[in-house]
Amino acid sequence: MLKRILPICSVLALAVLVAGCPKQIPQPEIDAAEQAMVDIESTKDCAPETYQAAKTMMERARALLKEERYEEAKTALIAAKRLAEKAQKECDEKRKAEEEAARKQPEPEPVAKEVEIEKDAGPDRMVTVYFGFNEATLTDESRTALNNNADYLRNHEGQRVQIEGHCDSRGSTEYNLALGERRAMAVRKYLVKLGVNPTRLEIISYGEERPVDPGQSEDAWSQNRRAEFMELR
Amino acid sequence: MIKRILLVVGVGLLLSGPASGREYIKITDPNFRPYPIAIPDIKDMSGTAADLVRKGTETLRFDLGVAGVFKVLDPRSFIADPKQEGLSGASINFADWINVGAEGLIKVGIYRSGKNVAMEGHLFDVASGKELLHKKYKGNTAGLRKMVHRFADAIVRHFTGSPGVFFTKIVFSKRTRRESKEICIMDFDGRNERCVVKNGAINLLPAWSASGRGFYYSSYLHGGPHLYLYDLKTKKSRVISKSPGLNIGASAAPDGKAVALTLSRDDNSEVYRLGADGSRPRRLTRDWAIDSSPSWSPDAKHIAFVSERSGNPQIYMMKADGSGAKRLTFQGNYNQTPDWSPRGDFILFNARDERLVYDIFKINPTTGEIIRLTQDQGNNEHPTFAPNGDLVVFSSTRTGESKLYIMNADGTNQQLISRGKGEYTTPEWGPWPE
Repeated sequence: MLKRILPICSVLALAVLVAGCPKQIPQPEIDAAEQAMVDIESTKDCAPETYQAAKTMMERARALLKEERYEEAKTALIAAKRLAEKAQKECDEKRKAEEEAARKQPEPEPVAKEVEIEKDAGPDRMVTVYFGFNEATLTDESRTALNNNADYLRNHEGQRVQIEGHCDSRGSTEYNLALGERRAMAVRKYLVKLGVNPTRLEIISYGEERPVDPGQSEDAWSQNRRAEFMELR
Repeated sequence: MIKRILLVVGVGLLLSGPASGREYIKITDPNFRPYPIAIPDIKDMSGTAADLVRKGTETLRFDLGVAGVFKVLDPRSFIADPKQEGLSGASINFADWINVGAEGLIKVGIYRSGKNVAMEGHLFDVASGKELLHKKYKGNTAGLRKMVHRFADAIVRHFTGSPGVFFTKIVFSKRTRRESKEICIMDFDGRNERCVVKNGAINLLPAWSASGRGFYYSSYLHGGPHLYLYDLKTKKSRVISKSPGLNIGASAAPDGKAVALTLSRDDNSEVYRLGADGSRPRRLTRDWAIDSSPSWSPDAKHIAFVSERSGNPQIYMMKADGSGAKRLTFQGNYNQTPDWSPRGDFILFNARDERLVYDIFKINPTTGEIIRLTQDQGNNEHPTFAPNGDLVVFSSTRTGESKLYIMNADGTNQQLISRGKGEYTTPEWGPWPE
């Protein structure tokens, strides 16, 4: 934006030196520039930089008019009008390109809007909480995640949820089933403490049977020691 | 700590005096030494049985190799001329067998006519040249493995006075797809694998019924997991226990009257006992800790189990009515999956050592003596005893994916038995066939 304004400024400075201060109000240029300013409101989003440059130039022109530096103002008005036209042109080109792309790949995208609406209504989903090795205790991080999940449940009255406890692959199948259940129970207990009706919360343990990452590394194991939330119908 | 307890191999040849006057080999004797036996290639007596001879030799060497009491000599070391020697004692130059270190010699011949097969087996004492056994079997080509198993069984009985495990089966859980696990059965040597519970759900922790006519297992088919009993004859499953929460880790009492398992209906995992059909649940543990993995003593008077009441999982035992619980393991902080020997002298278990590797150990419940059975071979888990107490089946990740292995009860002679693809877990060695 600055880059585009600078050459125009130097032109203005030159104009001042050469022309001095004539007394005539450049009414046709004022009218044309003001009209252009009204017209470019629609370019605010599609050509924001040029739009802003035109606005700035117009303000400058107005300031110059106030100071009765008409010749300089006239140059600024013309520049502002040109910038406005440029913004229009940029937007037209952009729209054309988008229409062309849409013709090639017709895919409406109202998704962004929906997400925004849900954000306003609280968390948009429940998040998974993670545990340490052979642990079923909740960490600060888990509690933050569960506060989010409790908010979600508060905003989705009547939604019932199955809390699934999972373990990493180390240790026996049987002990891990018991441990996975402990994890699910710890989560349920905390959610009930936050005011969620226990009848909305079912629990199941899958032990080590349903890993997110079947790999054998600390990274995989830490991903697998978790409690997940499934919405029940 | 546990790592330092090295394989204390119970070695010895106990010379007891059985009624027959013969001296039986006892693996459990402190001076036990495996009996060196030579098994030359089975002879193709009819000239039409080349493939049967190869299969039969392989089966016989495997059977006696894993029997626990023998050291099967490497056939590449043999010096006797296989063409010159026949099956009869008169045709054998015993000096050739003494010279390769054999004390026993096995000679087998197969005759084939179409689908009919006859097999003749001899066992000789090399030092005296005396024939100890002479057996004849008849059947069809498909029955050859059975004939070889029967001869191997006769040889084991001759030396130990007890049957071999050659007709026993192993049940296990196998993951073939990411979201499901099947329950499968195979022979003790990994042959004849067939998956019998495959319903698309996760099915796990199979455990034989006392009779061996079926097995208990847990399934997520209808949530739960619930406990089912699969009948091998009717090929049907029925529900045994579907309390809220977990219904897992069944262990059938050796007398067939009860089944112990883990239920979480009290919002906590506790060991229960039920009637063999699931009736009359009775709670055995009362502790706000995870209690699980019951295993019966052979006299059905005690139950070994896992509890983390001390802060981490350890092996405990209690009376079958739940009283008198006593902690058995004090080393390590992650001891699981006890399995009581049919002899009652040891309890197998799985421990995570200080390098965070899972290995198999056994503990004498009376003296507290602990013996390490596996080491430096991946993670080794879920050991269970064969019905003779001489062999153990377990899962191991030594080659990557979890597969099934058997070994002697002292940790020697570890052999891969599973043959298929997929993840093999939680094997349970079945009882003697009826």
